[in-house]
Amino acid sequence: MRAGRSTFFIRMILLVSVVLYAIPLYLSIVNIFKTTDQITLNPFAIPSSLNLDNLTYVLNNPNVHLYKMYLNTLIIAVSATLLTLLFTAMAAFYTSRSSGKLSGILHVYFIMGIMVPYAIVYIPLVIIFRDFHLIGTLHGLILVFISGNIPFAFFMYHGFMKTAPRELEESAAIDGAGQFRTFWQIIFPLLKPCTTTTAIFIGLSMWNDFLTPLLIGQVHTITLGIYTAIGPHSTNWGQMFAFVFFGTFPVVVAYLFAQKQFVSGLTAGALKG
Amino acid sequence: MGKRSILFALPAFIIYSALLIVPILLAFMLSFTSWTGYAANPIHYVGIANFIDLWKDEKFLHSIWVTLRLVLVVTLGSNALGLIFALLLNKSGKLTNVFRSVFFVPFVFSTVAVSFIWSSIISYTGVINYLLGVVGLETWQTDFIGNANHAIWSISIIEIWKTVGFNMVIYLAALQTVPAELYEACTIDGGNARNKFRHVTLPMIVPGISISVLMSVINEMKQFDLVKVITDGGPGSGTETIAYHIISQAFGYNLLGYSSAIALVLFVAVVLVSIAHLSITRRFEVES
Amino acid sequence: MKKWLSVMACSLVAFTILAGCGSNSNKNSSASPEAVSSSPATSAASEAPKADPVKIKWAIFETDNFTDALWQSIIDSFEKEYPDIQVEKVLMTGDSRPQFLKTLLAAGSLPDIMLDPAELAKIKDVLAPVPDDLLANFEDGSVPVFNNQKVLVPASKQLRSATYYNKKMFADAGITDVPKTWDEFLAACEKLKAKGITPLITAGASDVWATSFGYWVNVVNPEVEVWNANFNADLKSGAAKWNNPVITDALQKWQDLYKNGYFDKGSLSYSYSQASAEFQKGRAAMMMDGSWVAPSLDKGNLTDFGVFQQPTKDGITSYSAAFNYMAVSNSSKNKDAAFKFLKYFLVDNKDVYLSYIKADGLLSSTKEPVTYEMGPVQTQFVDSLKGLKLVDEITKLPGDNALPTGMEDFTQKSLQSILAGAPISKELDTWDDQYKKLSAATAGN
Repeated sequence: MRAGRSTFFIRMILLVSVVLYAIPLYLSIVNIFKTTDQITLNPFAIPSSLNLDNLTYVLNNPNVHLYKMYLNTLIIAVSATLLTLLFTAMAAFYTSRSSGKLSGILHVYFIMGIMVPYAIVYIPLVIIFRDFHLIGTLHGLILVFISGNIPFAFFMYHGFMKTAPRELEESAAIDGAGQFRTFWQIIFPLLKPCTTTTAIFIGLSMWNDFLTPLLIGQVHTITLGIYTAIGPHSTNWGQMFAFVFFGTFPVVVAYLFAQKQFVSGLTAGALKG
Repeated sequence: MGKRSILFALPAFIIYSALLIVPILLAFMLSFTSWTGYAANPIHYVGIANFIDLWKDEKFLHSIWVTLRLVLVVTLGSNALGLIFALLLNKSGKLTNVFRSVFFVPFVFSTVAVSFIWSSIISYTGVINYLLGVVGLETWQTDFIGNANHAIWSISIIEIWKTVGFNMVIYLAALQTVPAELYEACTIDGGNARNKFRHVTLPMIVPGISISVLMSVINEMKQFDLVKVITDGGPGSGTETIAYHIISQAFGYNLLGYSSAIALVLFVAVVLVSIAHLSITRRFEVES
Repeated sequence: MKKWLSVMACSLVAFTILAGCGSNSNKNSSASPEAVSSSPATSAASEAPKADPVKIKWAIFETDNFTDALWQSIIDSFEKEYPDIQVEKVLMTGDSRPQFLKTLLAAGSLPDIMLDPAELAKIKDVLAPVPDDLLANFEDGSVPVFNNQKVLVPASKQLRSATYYNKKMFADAGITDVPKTWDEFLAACEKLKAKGITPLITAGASDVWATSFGYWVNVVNPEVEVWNANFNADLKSGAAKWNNPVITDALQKWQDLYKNGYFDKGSLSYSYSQASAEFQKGRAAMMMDGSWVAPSLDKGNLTDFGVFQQPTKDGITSYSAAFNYMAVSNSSKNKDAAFKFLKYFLVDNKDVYLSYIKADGLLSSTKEPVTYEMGPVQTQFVDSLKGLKLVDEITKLPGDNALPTGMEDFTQKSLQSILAGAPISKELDTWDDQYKKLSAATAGN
C-alpha cells in the first residue's frame, strides 16, 4: 500500500515537471502553424490546419540568407569540431602517457582554460586578427573555436585516457610501429566513445554561439543570422517561431541521433556497475 | 613503454597559446592602459588607475550583485532539480527516455532560440498573462522583464530551464557509479529508502555533485548571452552582469583598457572560486 | 595548483566514462555527417574571386523597408551604366550598426562605401573627404564639418518624431482638438485615463533606444534648444552640464507621467515592434514615435490614426530632422569608383534615388527636391511642421560638437532607468562623468 502510494506521488511529480518543461517546447512547435490572431486567441490550441505560411515567409524572405548561413555554420562547426578533437586527443595522449614534469605542466596549462571568462579574450583577439587579416573569415572563426574548446576537450580526453588500458598500444610498440601510426591506427579509434560525447558538447556550443561570430568574425552563422533577422518580427509570434525552428531543428535532429548513444552509454555503465 | 613524442601536444599547444593564452596576457597588459582601440591612437600607461576606477563604478558594483544572484539561484535551482530528475529517471524504460529527452532538449537550443521562445511566454502580452486573464486574475498580470527585480528572476528561471538537462545528465552518470551491492547491503541492514539515499547514494555521487555545481557556478559567473537577448541589460542597467559590463565597455564605449581590467578581475574571481570549491568538495569526499 | 586540477579531472572521469563514453558504435556524432562533402575551410577563401573590373564593397543594412532586393536593384542599375565597376553588398549584422563598423575599422577591413557612418566621422582620417562637385548637389547646411573636413554625404533627410494618436479614442474621451500646450496635453491624458483608456505607450526590453526616443526628441530636445541653442558647444567647453534644471525638469515630467499611470503598464517589456503593434491595435491612445511610422500607417490604410507635434512647456516651438549619411572609407583603394557610385545613386539617376527615399518615407536632401505622393498621415506630419523652426538634435548633432562615441547609447540606457524610477539628478551626474570619460577616450587622451 505505502509503496504504491509513494510511487504514485513520484509519478505525479515527474509528470507535472515534464509537462511544465514541455510547455515552451510545445508552444514553439504548434504556433509555427498558426496566424498571429489564432495565437493570440489561444496559444495552446492545436492548429486546425497545417498552415505553412510562417515557414514559407522565412524561406522566401529576401533578407534571410538561410542557405548561406547554414553552409557557413556547417563548415565552421564541422571543421572546428574535427580539428579540436584530433589536436586535443593527440595532446592528451602525450600528457596522459608521459610522466615527465613537462607533461604535468602542460596538463595544468590546458585545463586552466576552462576558467577563462571568454569576454576577456575578445578585445585582444580582435587586435591579433587585425594584424593577420582574419576578421570576417571562416578560417579565422574556426581557429577561435578550436582554441576556445581545447580546454574542455582536453579535460575529457585526458581523464578518459588515464583510465584506458595500455596493453594494446604496448603491443603495438613492440611490433615496432611508429608512434604516430600507433596513435592514428590504434589509440584514436579506441577513444571513440569519449570522442562522441565531446563532439556533441563542443559541436553544440559552436553551432549555438552568437557572440563570437558577432564580435570577432562578423560571419553570418545561422544563430547570428536568426538573431539579426528576428528583431522586427518579435510582434509576429508565428514568424518568430518559424525563425526559431530554422535555427534549431538541425541540432535537435543531431541530438536525437546522438541521444541513442547517450542513453546506451548510460545503460552500458549501469550494466557494468 | 617508450617516451611519447612531445610533437603530439604541439598543434593544440600552438593554437591554444596563440588564441587563448596570448590574448589573456595581452588583456593583462591592456588593463594598465587607457587605450581605446584605434590603431592611430597612442597607448598610454596609466598604472593601476583602471583597477581603482572599478570600485567607484556603481554599474560595475551593481553588475557583481546581479551576477551573484544569478549564480546563486541558477546553481541551486539547476542542481537541485537536476538531481531530483536524475533520481526519478534512473531506470530504463521507454517513457524514461522520452522524459530525459524533454529535460535535455532545451540544453541543445541556442540561447537566442531559448530567449525568443520565452519572450513569447513572459512578454506582457504573452502566454502567462494570457492564462491569468483566462482564469480571471487580470490583477495578477505582471511585467516580467520591464522591472529589474522581476527581470533577474525571469532570467534565472529561463536559465534553469535551459541548463537543468545538462546537470541531470551528470547526475545520471554519477548515479550509475553507485554499485548495486551497496544498496543490497543497506537493505539487508534494514535501511529504508531515505537511509539508502543518505548513506549510499549521496556519498557516492559527491564527485558528480562537485563537477555539476562547479560547472554551473563557472557558467553563470560568465553569463552574457541570455541577458543580452532578453533584456539587453535593461531596464536601464538593471540586469547587466559582469560579462555584459565587460563587453559593453569594450565594444560600446571603446574603453578597452578599462574593460580588460574588469575582465581580469572576473578571471581571478573564477579561479579563486574554483579553487575554493574544489578544496571544499575534497574535504567532503575525505569525510564521507 | 596541480593537485586540485587533477582532482577536478579525476572527478570528471566518472562523468566522461559513464555519460557517453560507454558506447562504441557511434556513426552519428552531432557534427560530422557532412564533413566529407563540404571540404572545410577552403571553400571560405574562394568566396571572393578576383576579377578585372574594379570591385567595391558597400555596407548596407536590411529592414522591412530597405530590403535586399531594393539595394540590389540600385546596384544593378549602376552596374549597367558603369560596367567596369562591380558593387558587392556587405550586410551589417548584429543590433548596432556603429558597433559593426567599428569592429571592421579595428579589423582594418572597412568596406569602401558605408550607410550610417556618422560615428566613424568622429575619428580622424577614417573617412575620405568628399569631392566638392558631389557635395554641391545637396541642400545648404546639410554637410557637417569634422576637423575641417567634409567626409559625410547627406544622402537623405528624415523628419524625426511626433506624437501619433488614435482619433477614435480621442473622440471617445471627448477630446475635440489635439493639445497645443503641455497643460492641454496633461488634460488630454487625464480625460483618456478617466475613460479607462491608457493614454501613452512606449517600448523597452532589449530595444533600449525606443524607450526614450520619442520623448527625448519631442520634449527634452526642444526645451533644451529654447534654453540654450549652443548646448553641445557649451558641454564641450565645460560651460554647460547634463545635470541642469531644464533637462532635470523635462525628465521629471516624463517620470511623473509613468508614475501616474499614464503609460501602459507593459511598456518597458515590449520590444519596439511589439509596442507599435500594440499601439495600432488600440492598447493606448498615443505613442511618441518616429517619422517612419507615418508611411507605414498609410500603407496599412489605418485611417484611425493622426499625428501632431508634441507641445512642451514652451508650447510647440520647433522640430528636428536628421540626415542619413553615407561615406567612403579613407583606406579604400577605389575611392573614385566609390564616389561615382554615390553620385550616380543619389544625384544622377532620379528614379533610383526616388526608390530609395520612398522605401522608408524619407525626404530628399538634394538642392533640387525630389518628391513623391504621400499618404494622409505622412501629409499631416509634414503639414504640422509649417511655421516651426528646425533645430539641432543634441544626441545626433554631427560635426566637431558631436557627442563622443558611445555617449548616445549611454544616455539611452540611463533614460530607461529613469523611466523605471531612478533618481534623475543622480543619473544625470553619471552622464557628466561618462561624457568626460568618453570625450577623453575619443580624443585619444
